[in-house]
Amino acid sequence: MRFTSACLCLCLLVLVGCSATPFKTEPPASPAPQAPGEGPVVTAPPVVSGPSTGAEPPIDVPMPLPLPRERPRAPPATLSPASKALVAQAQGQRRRGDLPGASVSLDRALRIEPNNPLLWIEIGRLRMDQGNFQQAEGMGRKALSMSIADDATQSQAWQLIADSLRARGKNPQAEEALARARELQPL
Amino acid sequence: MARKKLSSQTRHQLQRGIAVLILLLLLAALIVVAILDHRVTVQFEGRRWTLPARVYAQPVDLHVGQSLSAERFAFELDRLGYLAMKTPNRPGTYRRRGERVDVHVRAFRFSDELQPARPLRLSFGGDMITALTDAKGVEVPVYRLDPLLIGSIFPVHGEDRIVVSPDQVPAMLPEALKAVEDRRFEQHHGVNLSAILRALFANVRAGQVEQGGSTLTQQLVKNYFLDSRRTLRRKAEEAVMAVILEARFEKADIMNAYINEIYLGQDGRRAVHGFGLASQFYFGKPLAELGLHEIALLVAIVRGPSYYDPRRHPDHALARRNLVLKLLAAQRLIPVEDASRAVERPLGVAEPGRQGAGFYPAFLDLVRRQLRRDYEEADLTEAGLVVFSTLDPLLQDKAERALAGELDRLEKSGRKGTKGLEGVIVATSPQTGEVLAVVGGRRSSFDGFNRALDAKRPIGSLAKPMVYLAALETGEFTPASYLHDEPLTLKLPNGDTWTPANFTPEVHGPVPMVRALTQSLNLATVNLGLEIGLERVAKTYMQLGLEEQPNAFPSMLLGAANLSPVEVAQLYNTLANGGFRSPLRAVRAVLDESNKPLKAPELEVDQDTDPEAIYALDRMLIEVMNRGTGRPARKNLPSELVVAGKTGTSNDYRDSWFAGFSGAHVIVVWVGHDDNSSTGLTGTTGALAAWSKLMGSIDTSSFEPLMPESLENRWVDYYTGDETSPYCSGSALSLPFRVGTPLPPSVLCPPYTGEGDWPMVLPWGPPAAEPVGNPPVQDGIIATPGT
Repeated sequence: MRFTSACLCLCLLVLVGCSATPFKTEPPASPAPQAPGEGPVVTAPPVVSGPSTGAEPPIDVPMPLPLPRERPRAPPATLSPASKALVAQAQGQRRRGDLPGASVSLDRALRIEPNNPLLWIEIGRLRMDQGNFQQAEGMGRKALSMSIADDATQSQAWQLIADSLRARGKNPQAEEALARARELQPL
Repeated sequence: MARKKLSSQTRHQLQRGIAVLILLLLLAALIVVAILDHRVTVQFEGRRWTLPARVYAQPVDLHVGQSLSAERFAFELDRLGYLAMKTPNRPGTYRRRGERVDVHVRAFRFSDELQPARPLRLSFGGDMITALTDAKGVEVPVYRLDPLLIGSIFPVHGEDRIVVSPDQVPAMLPEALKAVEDRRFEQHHGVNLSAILRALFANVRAGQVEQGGSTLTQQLVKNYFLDSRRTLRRKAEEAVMAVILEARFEKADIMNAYINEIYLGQDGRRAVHGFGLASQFYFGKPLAELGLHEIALLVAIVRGPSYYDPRRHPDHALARRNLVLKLLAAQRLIPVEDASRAVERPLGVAEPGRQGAGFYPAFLDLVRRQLRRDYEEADLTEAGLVVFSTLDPLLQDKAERALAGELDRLEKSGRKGTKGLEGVIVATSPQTGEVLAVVGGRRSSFDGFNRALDAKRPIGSLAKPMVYLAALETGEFTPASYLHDEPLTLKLPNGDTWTPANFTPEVHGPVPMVRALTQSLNLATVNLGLEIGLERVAKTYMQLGLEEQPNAFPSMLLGAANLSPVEVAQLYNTLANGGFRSPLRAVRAVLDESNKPLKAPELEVDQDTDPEAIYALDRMLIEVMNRGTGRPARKNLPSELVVAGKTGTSNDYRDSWFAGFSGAHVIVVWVGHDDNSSTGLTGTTGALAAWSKLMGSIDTSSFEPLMPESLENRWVDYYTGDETSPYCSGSALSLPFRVGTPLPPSVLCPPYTGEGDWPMVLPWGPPAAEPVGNPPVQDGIIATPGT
């Protein structure tokens, strides 16, 4: 039994070694959901546990399977060209005081990339302008839930939450949120 | 002399008396006229059909990377009335050459800006837009097509009728109406004396009422007050009102009101008023698209909607339609050849109940109700509003087809209870709560009862996720926690006893939570709900967005709460949205006549549920689709698409539900009978098929929420809940647990610890989704309360 399983394991590792993709120990864990009509641009890259890219197991010696360890970090979220254009348009509209217009532009972007945390942060900023501080926090929390392991985006979301808390006079909580924003801020 | 004096006095008195009488009569007449004036004017003003609110679907927002094929895009353009041309050089034209489309987009006033007309060049590849530029080849990041007009409504009148504005009426229709019903319409002042006399003469000669001399205006007045008694007094009143109407309003307004108001048939309990609705009712297409023979048929029906009913009396209808066509030719409104060609055409009436696409009464009703809920009434009564809705016409069409197709199939199967089935589909966008489609029944019904909103039915096992969520939120349960699938009998406050049972007579004893939910085990769920407390479970409904807390009765645990499909969509939308509650919205923006946006409710998100609990629940709902009651859906879905959901079946198989979601769509399906009789269907055998057909046919994405960092994936055994290894157990599945949660190791297949023995890697990869040695699972059903 031991022998056969070892053999089987070896054969498999040979196969895996030949393929280009690294072997994963877990089922695909939550890649960034892609909305219909979403562009090829990756917004929040997948959080993949298991060996990171590059290090393929050697062919001859079986490798012990990795154990849970420090969680991999995700690269910062980016906007697709379409949503980038719409966000720029919304920012212009906000500067001109056309808040309903900005809202429409961001809604459009959201329909293109509903899972992009950066858009939720933008909507939160708009809610701040509109004086709807509670919803600004809601948007920040939504952005947090969509940017797990993406420290740079999380930092922006915490900053937004801190602003919304301060606007409501919740200073101690605002300080805490700000501390988290600073802690996650990329160097 | 005295006598003469007396007589002159008498005469004088008599004269005065007559004068007073005349004055009194005049006064009375004036009062009557004033009353009639008030009645008819109020009626007319309140229902001036000139400028209804126009409702648009969501526009297609073109951008590179959008999944859209050239073929689909051309279809979309055709539907918007774009013309295919060799050189698309003016707005509203396009040219398709294989994978390239050049289109001259029309100018359109959106709620935020007037988007100018613009020539665009699009390239497609792999069912995607690969390039989007202007005529000079400069990249365009994003551009909206003008949206599809899906209907015109009066937000304040709760009527489901298709209102048409003058520009949506084919020019031939008013001409034909005048030619056939009222030749002197343009000249008369409301009544046509010579026509009345002619009719009178004909009627006297015939010895019965045979001919009417009513003008269009009189017919309209008669229609307003819906009284068809042919008494002289009515006639006189009608005539006076017609004269008043003519004096007060323009001919064009009167004609337009007539077109939107006149009675044209009966659809069950609902009267069909107006040519817009009649066009859908008889032909299944919008009024603007009718041909000459079809217009002539509608004009023929005006004279007697039941005698000339083209479905019940096709011979009567055909004869009169041809008479109308001859009249039009005789009056030189159409060339004789056209008339004779039209005479050759069949009636062309659509099968009842197949009113076709492009008619969205259930969705428009939701729009109307949300407008009334969210906007000031004074704003809504303004003329000429423009409403931007959230409808996705493509999804709506597919949903209609999926529902009708599945119900037909079930009916044809001949199973007991499947005759005359009805159904509802509601589709929403999880992240924004936008309502993308609402199908209110098997056929686009006119009867005013909107099942999607008004049919409140027991939700059966759709209630289970709320119980499990409440349990997970206590922090005392994990997906692997043991629940007790054991019989129980409850004494209810009213003295009754309640003995719930599983769908199958089996009792499973201790089962891990994930299995209890996946296989929809009733006893495990009831025991769990009672353990954590009914009040807590009832509150979960509110956290997920239900407006009213359901009664905290034990039967609530198995779905005795009555909810409408839209309410269920709200609950599951929050589940699909990581616990963030976004109120469902069918309206995005409203512009008034001067293009000023009215203050609108904005996108909101509120989070009242614990993110870890909702994540764990969602992962278990994925298992429902992989190995539980939702598994039969897989055959209709792309193999790589990850979805989550739950079946529901109510007592005696009265309601068959499925609610589930992908990453981009929440879809709720209900199947049942209006009279609440048994369907013989479970959620799996009824609603699930329509759900999966629809989910499998749309462009959607996998449901892959990000795992909170406080959680980690661990392998547990589906049957025991013990921690195991995927490399030796076919029943291992990966579930989230708070980091460091102690789990008992499996005895037969303990988790690999990285020491000692090499794990045996199964050559077929991760564990099979199919539970080993387990019969297909059926949905749990509420057991009838025992006595």
